Amino acid sequence: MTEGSDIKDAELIERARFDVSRFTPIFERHFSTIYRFTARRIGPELAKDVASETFVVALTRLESFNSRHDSALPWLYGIARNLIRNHQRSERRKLQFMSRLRAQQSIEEDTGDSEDAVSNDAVTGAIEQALNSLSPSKREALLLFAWDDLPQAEVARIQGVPAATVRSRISRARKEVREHLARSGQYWDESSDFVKLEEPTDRHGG
Amino acid sequence: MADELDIIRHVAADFTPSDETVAFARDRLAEAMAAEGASRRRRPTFRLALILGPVLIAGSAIATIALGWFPNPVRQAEGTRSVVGTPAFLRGVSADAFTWSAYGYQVENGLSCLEVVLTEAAELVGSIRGCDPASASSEFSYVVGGFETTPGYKQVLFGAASEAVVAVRATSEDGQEYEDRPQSGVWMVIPNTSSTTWTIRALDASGALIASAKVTDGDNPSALSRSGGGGTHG
Repeated sequence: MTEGSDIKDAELIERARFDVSRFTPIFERHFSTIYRFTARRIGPELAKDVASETFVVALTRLESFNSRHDSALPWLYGIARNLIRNHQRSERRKLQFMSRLRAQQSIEEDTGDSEDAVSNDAVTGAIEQALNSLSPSKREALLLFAWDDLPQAEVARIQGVPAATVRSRISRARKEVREHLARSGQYWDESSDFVKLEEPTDRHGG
Repeated sequence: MADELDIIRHVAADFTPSDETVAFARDRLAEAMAAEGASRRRRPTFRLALILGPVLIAGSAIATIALGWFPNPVRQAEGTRSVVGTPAFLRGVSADAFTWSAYGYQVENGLSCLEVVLTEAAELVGSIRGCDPASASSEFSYVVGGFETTPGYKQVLFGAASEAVVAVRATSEDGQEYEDRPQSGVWMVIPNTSSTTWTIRALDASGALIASAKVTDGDNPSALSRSGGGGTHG
């Protein structure tokens, strides 16, 4: 339990405006989530910097938090999202998806399990191609929904669009991914359904 | 059977920060907290010269609404409650789904304040204000601040202007230039860039320079008295 664990984020942030030490529980509550969010998009090494920078920026912009919302998480996602964008602009890098299978592959290569590694690489490649083929707004909506488990209403807040727009973006994104994967021929069953994926061997411990 | 959403979820790596990563971030935040805490303790009274003549004339009809919008905790913490009846709407600027509304009012300790309120679809996002003794005089004053919103950082440059000031020109460090003609004694620019450093020039009717200033948003947030947003003043 962290200090102020029974106090809502909004109240802690209001207090932090006059006593910055009150911001500490916000970090303890949300750092892992923000780190996960950034690591999946730009990799763990860069995520270390971007996730920590997110909280520094948040601290210096406490007044920009909309106190009508109880949770600080959407606000922190928004800051992290902008930092990721700035980083990608400055680095001119294509979005890199850090998938479970890629992370697992490196472990399997280390352990000599090359057959699984090749299979995993094919899966990762197909998914990454499918995701990279989406428009940025559709891809972001889909990944916030699928990877970060955010309800569509929160995705809408982060993207600054109506919930109906998010529903449409996710629906279209799913359709495009489905079609892309079908064209790849690896995951499409003749009965017009996707084949069941093998459960991953979670040897990298999360 | 798995569908495409299951597949996407299936490949999401569950990154967990290492103890070293958490310690790194915690140390970095602690440094920032020390700096920010010291900065907030040093925060001076915001010195914004206001031309209050037009303030008290214009827009008194919506003073009640304005009073309701001003966040009270900050005002009470500073011991500067607004004087009932003085808030007046001065001007508004809309950009995208956001509306910036400038209000002027007096507070109990004699200060005169200019406050800009940002709303998104009628929902309050926050406000930035500056106050200074009513006896202060200047041809124009300036504030740069902004708010972190879902689409990104929304910046505003605003201030008071005397009748002699016909135009205010704001130039960002990356060369973008904006010009505004003051209305009701208030000038306001909503830039499309979130440049941190601005050069602001007040011009008279002949285009001659009355005064200029260089102001930075973000480097010294302690200099801004506000109930929302961030930035500095001149």
